[in-house]
Amino acid sequence: MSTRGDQLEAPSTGPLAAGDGTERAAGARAGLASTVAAWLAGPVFQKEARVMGRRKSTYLARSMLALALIGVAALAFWAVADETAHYRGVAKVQAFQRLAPGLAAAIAWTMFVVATVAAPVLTGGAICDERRSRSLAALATTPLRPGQIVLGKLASRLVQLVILVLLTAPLMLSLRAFGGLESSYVLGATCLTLSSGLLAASLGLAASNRAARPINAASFGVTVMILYNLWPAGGMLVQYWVTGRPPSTEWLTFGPGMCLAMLSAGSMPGMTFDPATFWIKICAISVALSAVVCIAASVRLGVMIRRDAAEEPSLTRPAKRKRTAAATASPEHATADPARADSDGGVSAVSREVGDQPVLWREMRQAAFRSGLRLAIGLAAVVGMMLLVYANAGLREPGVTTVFAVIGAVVLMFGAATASVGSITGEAESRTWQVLNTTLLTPAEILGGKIAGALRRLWVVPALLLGHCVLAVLAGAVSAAFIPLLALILVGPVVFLCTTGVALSLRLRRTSAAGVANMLIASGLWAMLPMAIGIAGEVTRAGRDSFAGRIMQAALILNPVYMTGSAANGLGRSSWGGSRSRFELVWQNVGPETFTICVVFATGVYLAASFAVFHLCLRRYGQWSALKTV
Amino acid sequence: MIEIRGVTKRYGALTALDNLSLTIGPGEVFGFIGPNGAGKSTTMKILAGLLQPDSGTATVCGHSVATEAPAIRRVLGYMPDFLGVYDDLTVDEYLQFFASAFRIERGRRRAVVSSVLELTDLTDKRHAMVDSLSRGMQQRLGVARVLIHEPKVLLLDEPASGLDPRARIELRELLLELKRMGKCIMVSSHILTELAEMSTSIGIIEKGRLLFAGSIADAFARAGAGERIAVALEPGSADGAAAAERLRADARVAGVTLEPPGPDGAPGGLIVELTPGVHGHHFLIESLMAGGARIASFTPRPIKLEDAFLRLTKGQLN
Repeated sequence: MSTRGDQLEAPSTGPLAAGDGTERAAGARAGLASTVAAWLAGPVFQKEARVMGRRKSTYLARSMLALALIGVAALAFWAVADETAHYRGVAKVQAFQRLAPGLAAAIAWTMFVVATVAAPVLTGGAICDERRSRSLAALATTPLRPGQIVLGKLASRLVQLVILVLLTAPLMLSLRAFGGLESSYVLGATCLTLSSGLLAASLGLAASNRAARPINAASFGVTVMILYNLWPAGGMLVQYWVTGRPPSTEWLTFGPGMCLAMLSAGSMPGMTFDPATFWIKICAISVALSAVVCIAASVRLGVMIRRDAAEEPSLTRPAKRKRTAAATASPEHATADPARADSDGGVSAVSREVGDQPVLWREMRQAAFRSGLRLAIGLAAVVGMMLLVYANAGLREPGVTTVFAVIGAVVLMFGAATASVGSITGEAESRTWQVLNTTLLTPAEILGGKIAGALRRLWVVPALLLGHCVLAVLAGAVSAAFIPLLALILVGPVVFLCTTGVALSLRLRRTSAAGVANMLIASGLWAMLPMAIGIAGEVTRAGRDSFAGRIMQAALILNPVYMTGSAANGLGRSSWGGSRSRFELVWQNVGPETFTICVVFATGVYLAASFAVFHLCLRRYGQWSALKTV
Repeated sequence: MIEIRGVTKRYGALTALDNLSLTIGPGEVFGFIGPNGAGKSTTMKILAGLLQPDSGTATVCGHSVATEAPAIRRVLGYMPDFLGVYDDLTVDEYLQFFASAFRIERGRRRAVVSSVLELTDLTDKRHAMVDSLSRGMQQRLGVARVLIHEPKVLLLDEPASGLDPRARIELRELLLELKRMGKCIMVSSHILTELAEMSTSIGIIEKGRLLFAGSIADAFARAGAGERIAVALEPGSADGAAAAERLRADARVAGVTLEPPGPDGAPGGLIVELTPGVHGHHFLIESLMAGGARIASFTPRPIKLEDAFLRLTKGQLN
């Protein structure tokens, strides 16, 4: 099979050139088909598809997703059937008609989020795994062009994504049998999910070119997709700030998430576009952006291949560490130029003195961001946005602190779920794990150091949250008690997620698998559990004082995002000025003492669970570690 | 120092080690030879305490790998076949890291790091970032790391793999220095000539079974490999085939191989392999001259470990 992209060139002589226009057109079509096949379904695609096809986890994930969605749908229908048992005729049909759109929207949103998060995870290792396993150079010596490599890898992973998304289409279409659900909604939601997934996958692949580890590329892809989904809201805010008039709803059509929300909500007052077809534009934009990202990724890959061919390839990025003489541990190590080239042109730096807990010492010095410039740009963007909100809504506005705290809690949980998942798999991938395990370090020292390092790398979001809270307290928008309460709410879940991340990193072979599993734990605890509680509440009609009701309350107390919002509302200016603060918990408002007890209880539960997971890791250390040694 | 008794290790359906038994004494340099996938790395990982055997026992300096892993780590240094490095550390920090991991007191670390850097000739790279070192230097850094806690036993898995000739020579000199220091070293390599130069004993493993363990001389004897002599005949000399026939009749000759005639009409030479244990060559010269052969050159060829290896592993387990 030819892998060159030159099949499009029409022969200037020969039968085709001498033939009529129809033959020429047929020849050109055949050439185009073979070119597309060579680029999309070439050897890279076939190899990747075979590798993925061999993994049991591929089929397990698909089966679990399908079963979970069917289970949720079945539970919801059971709940409605139970609730409407005494209804008759039309009333019963109407109850089901009300359920179908809501359930379809829930499924569509679930798939949208799954596709946006799973796509970069699937493509994050595409190139950097090749680089780490030193197979990129071998691939570069074949006639394959960088574009073919990129497209082959993208196509093979998109197949997995398309299968996942299309698994839900029959389920959503079957809901139409109950009425109240348009087929155009199913089509629109599926197209939005697929185009969004395509863009997310392209971003993950492009980031994989430079990333040291797959999880870094996946995190980049997810972050950009979050910004892509949120930027219309920012645009509306800026327009409102500049013009002082309500912003145009047209903004909403520039973000896939917003589009899906509007598609789910149906027509809105003031809409200036066709509610049935507006999603086509954002799908086209996402696909066009994917094409641009793929072209950029191909160009970048070509540059990397040429650069690696010209010089000794490095498995990792060049060392960029620079340190001041002040960081030098002893005068013996001090040099006039802290970052200098050695006699052979290699990169040198001032050596520091290693502490008595070497793993902890190294982890505490790992950078949270790859470069200071990136950190500065990221901080400037976030602080700028916060200042914009302060200027627009005012710092004393009670909702501002609630929104910032909730967004901060969500981002912090996302960070905690991904910060530690590469801690052990990263060591195994860079072949340092075996050596570390032949030292006198105990498993507790190694794992404890990894958890501490992951916690330290999460400093940015808490620092921003603290900064906002201090300003809000000074402005009188929120009580000073909110700061320690917020810290107490967040510390337990963060420690828990970092511990489970290390545990999964120890147990699983791949960082991406550990990342997905830890995200599932987080989403299971804080998204699926409340959903299940809601459905169970409907089914059992459990009162707040019943045993089942107490269990449900306890489960929601464990949700840090819910508790953060509740604490911000409870200690906001409108709530605490003079009178006793009231905190909203499920089914009731409680006082500060009860709320604090609930927070302490939840923190205790998380810390106890973290300890249990840590203890399990220590017990299974030899067995799980051996899996990475074979 | 190292004692392995009836160790078996399976990975699913694959038997990586099959009832392996082996003893390596103090001060011995044991060359571990075998094709890829023979079980060399698995043996070393079991000795390093990274893997547990399915059955059998293994001890290092009298400590069981199954129950006394911390004690073994104090006396053993293990260098895997592919050295992973922390790319964010300098050479000095990397060695300090492992010095700390081996509980060397903070006050002694600097001196220990200096001494291993000097031994491995990396002193001038002390503040270089680890990932900026060449492959050869990284291997030497790996050896430095292994020596940081002054272990009595060294397990070196393919230390010369992927190195250029100069780096290989430097590494070989370093290992010979360690041998002089009296370390018990178990080293695996595909470059058998180097193993022959530094090893006091060898083990040959294939498909998880130890085919041979003992001295190199014993290996040659076991393989039936005697001394070989290349004989070139002058132009116009008697027929080489007739000379070969004459030699084959002698019990001291294990075999004779005829080399084809040269393009200039020169007669083909002979490769004569003596029966193992026979060392004298004079009878060969006498026999050839008696048959009318005129000898142009007579060159004893040293026996190679490769030959013994090939003979010992050839089809034995197939």
